[in-house]
Amino acid sequence: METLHFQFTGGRTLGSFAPVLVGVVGSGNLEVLIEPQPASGLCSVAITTSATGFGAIWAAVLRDFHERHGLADVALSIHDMGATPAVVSLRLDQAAAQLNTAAGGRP
Amino acid sequence: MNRSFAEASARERIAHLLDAGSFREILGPAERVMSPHLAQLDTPAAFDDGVAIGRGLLQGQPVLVAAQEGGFMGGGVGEVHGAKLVGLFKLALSDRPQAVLVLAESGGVRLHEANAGLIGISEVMRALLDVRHAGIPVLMLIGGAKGCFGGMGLVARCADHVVMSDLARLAMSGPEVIESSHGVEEFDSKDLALVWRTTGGKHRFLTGDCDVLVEDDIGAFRAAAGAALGRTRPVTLESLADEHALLAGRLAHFGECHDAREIWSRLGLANAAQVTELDTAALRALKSTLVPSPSPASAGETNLHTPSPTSAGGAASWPLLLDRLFAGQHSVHHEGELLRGTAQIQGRTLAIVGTTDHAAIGVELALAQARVVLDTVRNHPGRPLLLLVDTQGQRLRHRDELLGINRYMAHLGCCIELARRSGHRVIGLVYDQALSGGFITSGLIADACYALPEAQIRVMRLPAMARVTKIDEKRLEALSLSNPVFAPGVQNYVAMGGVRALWHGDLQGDLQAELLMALDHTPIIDERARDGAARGGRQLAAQVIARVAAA
Repeated sequence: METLHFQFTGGRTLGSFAPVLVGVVGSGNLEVLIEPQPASGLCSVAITTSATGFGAIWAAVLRDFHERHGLADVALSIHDMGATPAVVSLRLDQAAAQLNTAAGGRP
Repeated sequence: MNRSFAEASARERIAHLLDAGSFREILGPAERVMSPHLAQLDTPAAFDDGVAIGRGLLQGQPVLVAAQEGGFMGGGVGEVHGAKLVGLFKLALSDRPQAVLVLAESGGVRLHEANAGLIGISEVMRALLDVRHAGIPVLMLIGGAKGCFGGMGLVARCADHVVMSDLARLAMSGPEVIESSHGVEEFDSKDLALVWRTTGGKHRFLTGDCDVLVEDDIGAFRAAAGAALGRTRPVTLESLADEHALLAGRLAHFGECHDAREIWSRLGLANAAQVTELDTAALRALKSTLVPSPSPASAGETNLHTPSPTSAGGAASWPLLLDRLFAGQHSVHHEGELLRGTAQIQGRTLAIVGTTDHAAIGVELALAQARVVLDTVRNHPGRPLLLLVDTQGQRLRHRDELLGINRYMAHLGCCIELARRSGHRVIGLVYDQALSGGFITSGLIADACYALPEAQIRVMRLPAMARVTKIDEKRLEALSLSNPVFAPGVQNYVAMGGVRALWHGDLQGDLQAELLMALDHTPIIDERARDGAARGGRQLAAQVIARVAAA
């Protein structure tokens, strides 16, 4: 098991919202929890994954996510059971879509 | 539009089952009430420990709801997961909803925290029966792809109503477990048609183990749950006597059947072979035309399996135990693997019921023990019950699953619960070994369970656990020295609160003193989670239960 942390800056602030959870901690799958992190200006990501040694790939997948959605003042927490980068991206996009709904914004 | 129940996640099921937007989760994912045990086994935890619980509305009526996530560890019940369910049932006692809905999808006990899960399941059963006693119906909605097995199969048959889809399964032991124990000729787990006609929704519906059969559609589950709101089935001596007669009759009528199709045929289905091809509406229509078969009161009950040649009594430890406990003042005898009789201590008469020879608890043995408990409640009000536990677990046979062994074992548990409510003290004593499911509906459902120091208690041996969890056996061994949560051993069960105390003592008087103490001072309310916290073995369960109950 491995724990990884990333931080991104320069996104748009959503204001307050109820935490959003998508996905399930099952084989080849992951869960993503997005919570508010007010006035930080950050999109921080904490990952616990059963697969060790994939830090560089996580960094790339998350950088793509940040470029697509550009969220700020949020904290992402991830529990991963060996999901592929494609599945990770899918879950992150699902979480962002739900987040926009939860925050009352456009999907 | 149909929305598949099986393919939805636990949260999606809740969202579409309840009135739109009405769900208010308790201890939601952001609270991070997670398993404290998985990290040391290198396994990621889940934010909700695999079960979402909370309040909501169904057809405008207030309900409490729990949904197990089969995708996380197969829906397995660990310390936190079990405690959330227990807490929800306790909350129901003050909330008084129109129903508690349990969307069950679980393989049973989570092996990574096996001891906590086993005790937790029995706590769930007791808490559930408290809710039924309070006149609040408990509904089991079973429609997940993983089915409802093991301890959750027992919990399901403790509820008022069971709703299943034809995709769902309800059973005790999984087909893989039975196959690995007795070979492919006993139960071919790869023969999916066989698996479904033995444990699937249609079979359970035809035999009556599920009350309502629905399509794999969340809307259909919603309609079935709505129809059951406020409808209770009280647990009384009469209702359990009826249940007993039904189960005895089932054994008499179908005990010799080797396949579900034989049972369907004997039920009067002219074309039993076609049942699997019918849709649920056609099957419901067909069932309504069947005449219920008569259930002779005592048929099927005398057919206790004869003892195996090795169990002639020579090595059995129960005669010596009873001599030490009662100094010859007892009439306990064995009928096969069943122990029954009465005993005297200081002028008080106890009813004794239990098993010997490491009995595998099959349908007959579960029913025979239930008979003793029911007879005691009926004929000897207030007489204390002593449950003597020596079991290798539930019997791992295709036939038992075909007959619905989880319902037979749950019946035994309900009878013990009835005895407690009727003013009988119920003391469990593990005098030899207590394994997995066989322990849940005996010692673990007593007021409290005690054990001899030399007894063995476990869910599974470490080598088997290593295979299932894919964790190195040496690692498990090393961890088991410091953590009582999964390793075998009576001391671990004491630390977790599942065993109230060990009965030490070499002298006759010592054991007698322990029994008298237990009879006079065992609490009637379930204090095991509190004990587990005080003793350091289960540090989270008690506080999770309390937080949910006060939500």
